[in-house]
Amino acid sequence: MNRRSTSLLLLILTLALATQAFANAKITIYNADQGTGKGFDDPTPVAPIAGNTGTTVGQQRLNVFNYVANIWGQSLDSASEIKVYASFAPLSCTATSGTLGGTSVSWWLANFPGADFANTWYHVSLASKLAGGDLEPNADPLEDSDMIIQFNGSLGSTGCLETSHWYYGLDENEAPGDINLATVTLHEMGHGLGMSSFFTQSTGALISGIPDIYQRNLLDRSLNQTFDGMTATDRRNSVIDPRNVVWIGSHVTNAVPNVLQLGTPILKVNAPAAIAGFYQIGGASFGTPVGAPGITGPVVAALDAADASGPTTLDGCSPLTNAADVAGKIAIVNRGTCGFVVKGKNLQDAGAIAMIVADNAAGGPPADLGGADPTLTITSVRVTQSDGNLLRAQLGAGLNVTIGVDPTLRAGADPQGRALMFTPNPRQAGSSISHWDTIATPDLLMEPFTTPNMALRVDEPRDIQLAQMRDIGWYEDRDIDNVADSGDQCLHSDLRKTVIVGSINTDAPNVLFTTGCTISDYVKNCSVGSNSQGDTQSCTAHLTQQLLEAGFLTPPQQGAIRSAVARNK
Amino acid sequence: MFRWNNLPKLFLLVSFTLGLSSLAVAQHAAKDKPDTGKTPTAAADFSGLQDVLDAKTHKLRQPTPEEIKNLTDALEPMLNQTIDESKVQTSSDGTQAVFAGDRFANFILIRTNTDGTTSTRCVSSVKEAKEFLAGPTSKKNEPRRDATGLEVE
Repeated sequence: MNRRSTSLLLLILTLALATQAFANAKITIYNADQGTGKGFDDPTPVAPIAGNTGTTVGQQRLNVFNYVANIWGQSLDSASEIKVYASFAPLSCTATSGTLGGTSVSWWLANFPGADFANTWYHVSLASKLAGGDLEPNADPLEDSDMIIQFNGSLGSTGCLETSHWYYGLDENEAPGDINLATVTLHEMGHGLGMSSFFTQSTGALISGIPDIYQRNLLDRSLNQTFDGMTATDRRNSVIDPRNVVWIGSHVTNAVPNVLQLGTPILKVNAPAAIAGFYQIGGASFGTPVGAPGITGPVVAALDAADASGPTTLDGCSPLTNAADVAGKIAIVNRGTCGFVVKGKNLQDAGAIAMIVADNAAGGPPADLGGADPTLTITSVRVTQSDGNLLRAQLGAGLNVTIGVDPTLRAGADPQGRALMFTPNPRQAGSSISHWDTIATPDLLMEPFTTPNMALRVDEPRDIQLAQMRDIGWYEDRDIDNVADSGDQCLHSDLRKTVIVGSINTDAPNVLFTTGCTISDYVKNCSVGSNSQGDTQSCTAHLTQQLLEAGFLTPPQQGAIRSAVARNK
Repeated sequence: MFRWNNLPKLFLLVSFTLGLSSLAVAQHAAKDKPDTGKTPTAAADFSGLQDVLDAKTHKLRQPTPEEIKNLTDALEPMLNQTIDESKVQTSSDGTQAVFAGDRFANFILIRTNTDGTTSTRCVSSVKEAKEFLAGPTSKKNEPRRDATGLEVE
């Protein structure tokens, strides 16, 4: 097809066809417990609960999986069936700890037809969507799957966390202590569909030297480098670069203002100019919470006796010896030896208006301060050890700070409005680069823990997860013609193999064009845009002539279409 | 249905800014959720569960080193982030594929805390699993924490 004929065809198309909602992606659950009498086959009778009409434990489990599959399926579009190999067999467990469940991506693919980027690993379900068909069909259900999900069917049984139980309701109303299977499954399928990366995190090494599509969206702000272009060493180190790794995909960045709340606790240095700027803080479970407009004042060191309560004069573990200096000011103490509330009370008794605790161990981001004392009312925050050293070095230079909420910064995003990844240092459980930062407010589905009563949603305004999927390539395509809806001029394409007019099969090939329209769409549009049968036939004649000249139709096929239109009154 | 000349897909990104953003500026007390995922077990009755109680404190005990080892040993094959690169298949059209199976998994673990609450955490390595299961009170130099998991000193 040449450019000329393409443009003529576009001129013919005067009206886009009506938009319609479709079933999007089919996600099927393969029951790997079949015939075992366990897991999804567990015949234990139960009463229906919260929308789950199953009458056995096994049925209810399967119903939850199918319910969650439908949530993801209605959110994503794919011509390729997404297959989940699922089991609910007993997993390792003890009386007080155990495995709830997990997910892995069965296959990773690169350089397949339809890939947006060369030399890039893709999750198999996404790769199959982009290719327009299943890229890894296999007779073995395990190898045919797109992801493997395992959950612990023993939870709550003798010897396996007997006080914890799965909740099988199809809502967010689990009782305290229960684990909502739908929430956990929604999270796990999220990993399987695209919220995961494919490299060896302990070394930073890529698999076969190829980065994945997820890494292309991860930017380390310290290095100003995305994960796919880093050295292995940088990649390994970036996983523990706190609050400095952000997701740069445009869909997530556009979704952030609709999902994450404005307001992030922050310490702002007003003076001296040499260190002016914003510093991360952890809040406290006691005292007055950090709020707006915040507390502003000069900072002084709290000094106390080096005694049995605390071995240094900077730990704040004893009544202060410089109360006159501290009164009316913000005081800084070092972490260590005694509880945070002890330090806070000593500072408050000396008249301090707020407490800054400088950490005594390297790492970040600064964790929150714990403890309880209802008589403690001043605001308390923690800064990292390095920031603490920086502040202390400026105490004689007129250090003045504001402890407050930055109303312009969203909780869980950087100053540029990009979502933060969970990358604490030292590395903590869940810091596998496949979760959002825990500072996000409201809590997000893909944070590294389960949140009680979490909404079963993946889209805005509740969550940014669907946007993350869009960023890696799960583009919206409601008629599943592999043309993104954003550029699809026919959102409800007739995708049958041949051009069929009414009930007449012309046997002419129904070519799909880059516009997202097929020959059938264009033929149908002739009738939509015409006032009479004569106009329709004239439009069709003109259209088919262009297609003939462009080589898409043979003369007999052109004739068949024109004849069918003439007969289809 | 056949496709014309492997049609290039159109990626005209659109801004999804229809939702209204929250303008509320919340106060922030301990919002960092350092050891969150805790779910209070309301009126939990642990009588009769002697195997989960610490003999001295009569509080819920933490997993023993042996239990942690058993748990993480079972997870190790699935949290193994290496792959035999000779298994990467290349087909005639240039497609490369590798079956990772249940490797490179993300697993959610659960741990009961001494106060009866539970913590969950999604991990992707044995190291992360061990650290989470060991809990905050098992390390010699680890600070004390309150019932919500926050460090108190």
